[in-house]
Amino acid sequence: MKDSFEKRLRTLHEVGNRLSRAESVEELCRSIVELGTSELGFDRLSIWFVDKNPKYLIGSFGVDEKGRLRKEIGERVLRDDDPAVRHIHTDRSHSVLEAGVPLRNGSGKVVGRGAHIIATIWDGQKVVGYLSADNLLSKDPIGEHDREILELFASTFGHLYSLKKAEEEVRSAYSRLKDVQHQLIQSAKMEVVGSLASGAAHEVKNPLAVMLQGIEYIAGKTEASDRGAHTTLERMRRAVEKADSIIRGLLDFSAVSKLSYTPQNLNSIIEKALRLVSYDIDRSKINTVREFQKDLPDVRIDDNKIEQVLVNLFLNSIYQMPDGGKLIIRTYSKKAPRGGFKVFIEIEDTGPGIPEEIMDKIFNPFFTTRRAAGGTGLGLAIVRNIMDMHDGKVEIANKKVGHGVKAVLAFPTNKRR
Amino acid sequence: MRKKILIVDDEKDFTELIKLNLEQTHLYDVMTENFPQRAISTAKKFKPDLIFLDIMMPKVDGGGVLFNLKNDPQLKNVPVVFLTAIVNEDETDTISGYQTVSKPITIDQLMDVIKKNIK
Repeated sequence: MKDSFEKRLRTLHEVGNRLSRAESVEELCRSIVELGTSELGFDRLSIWFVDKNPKYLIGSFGVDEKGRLRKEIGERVLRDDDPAVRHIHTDRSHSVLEAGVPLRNGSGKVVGRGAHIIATIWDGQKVVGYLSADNLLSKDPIGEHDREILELFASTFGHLYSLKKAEEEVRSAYSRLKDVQHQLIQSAKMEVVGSLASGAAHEVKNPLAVMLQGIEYIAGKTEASDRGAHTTLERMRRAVEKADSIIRGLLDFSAVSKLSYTPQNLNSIIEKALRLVSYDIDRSKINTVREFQKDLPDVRIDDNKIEQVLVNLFLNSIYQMPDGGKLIIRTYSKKAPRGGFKVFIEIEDTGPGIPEEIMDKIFNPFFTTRRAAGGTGLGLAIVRNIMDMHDGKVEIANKKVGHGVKAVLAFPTNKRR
Repeated sequence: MRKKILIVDDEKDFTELIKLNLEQTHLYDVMTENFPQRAISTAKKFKPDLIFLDIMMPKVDGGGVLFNLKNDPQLKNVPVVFLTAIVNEDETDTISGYQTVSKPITIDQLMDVIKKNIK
């Protein structure tokens, strides 16, 4: 038994209140279809938006011929012979009721016959789409009151839709603005690091050079039997080397660091980088596993810089596995969509992984979790910087919580340098 | 016959220590010049087999000294190596085709460079 028209109007008012609480356009569309069927008594209700090309309608949410709620129900050409749509267009009325017409599903297939209402969705300026409703399943009669209810429903929807859409646009513009601001801050930071680096390099490396020469001079003058003196000098020498390595890290950002590209096989670059960290690998009893593609295409890279990228990533993995583990290094190539190949290096460890809360900071210059152990926080920043200079990509993610980290480096092969 | 090495660098502490260390090996005679504007006249008198040249120096920088060296008929064939604090050691041969080594540097590394650059 159908509710009275007045009762349905009250229901419509309540439904409108509930709809206004929707947090996104998508939630609004879903609620329209859900409430339109559960509260307003239509068997099937669907939303069709006019596409950028006004000849097309794009289906949003809708109820199919079996009564199930569906998303993205289909696409329809707005046909000139569609009497209902034509009626709305020519008469400028907001809704139309047709009896005894073919009822269709999302893909346009006829699934029955009966009465059918469509009502325009008006955003305040133009028709943005149509609500379509019928009683395909219950075969309940549809009359003028139903048409009026749907028209009011579509009008409520239209206003809320334009509101939510505007809200979403503002939100997405705000988040884009935030991203751009973030990027600007990042690149400003990089620039500061770059100019600091070349200045600091000169001011710090010269005194370091004097200290190193002094240490060597005193070492030459000290009796070999004076072990205390030699140990002290060795400690001083290591301190100089440590300071120099920080400066070198900083210099990698600065403009004086030029790249020279030659065609290289990444498998052999990996071997070279592994040799540089072999002491650390052995000390932590780490098992290295190589899964190399044999006929890997050459890539044009600065081999010293890429070696540094690999060493930085290897060392990060090694630090994650002080009591042993597996370091898996994989290479492979894929055909690139625009010709040539993309060559990939994957580095996996079996350490505890990176805490999710710091994941978005790992590439920031000076961000480190190993400050006490002498970390400069430049390792991954340098990795990204070098990969950027190669038009390459670096991605780092946890494999599964507590199951280690996977780093993926991607290199294009079709770049001319 | 000991090879003659000229070091042009405004950092006096550095040049003095390099001189001491290289001379300890008894393989080289070392002259230092801390005023780049005097580098050409010093080189003409000393007749070095190799010149180490700093890049960032006051008044005349390493590039300026190099230009004057290469335009001097007496000095133009003397090999030059940049010894500088502004590049990393893996970036050799990047400055105008001249080998470039980075400070700080050990005496062993320096001797390797000397051997490579003096025939």
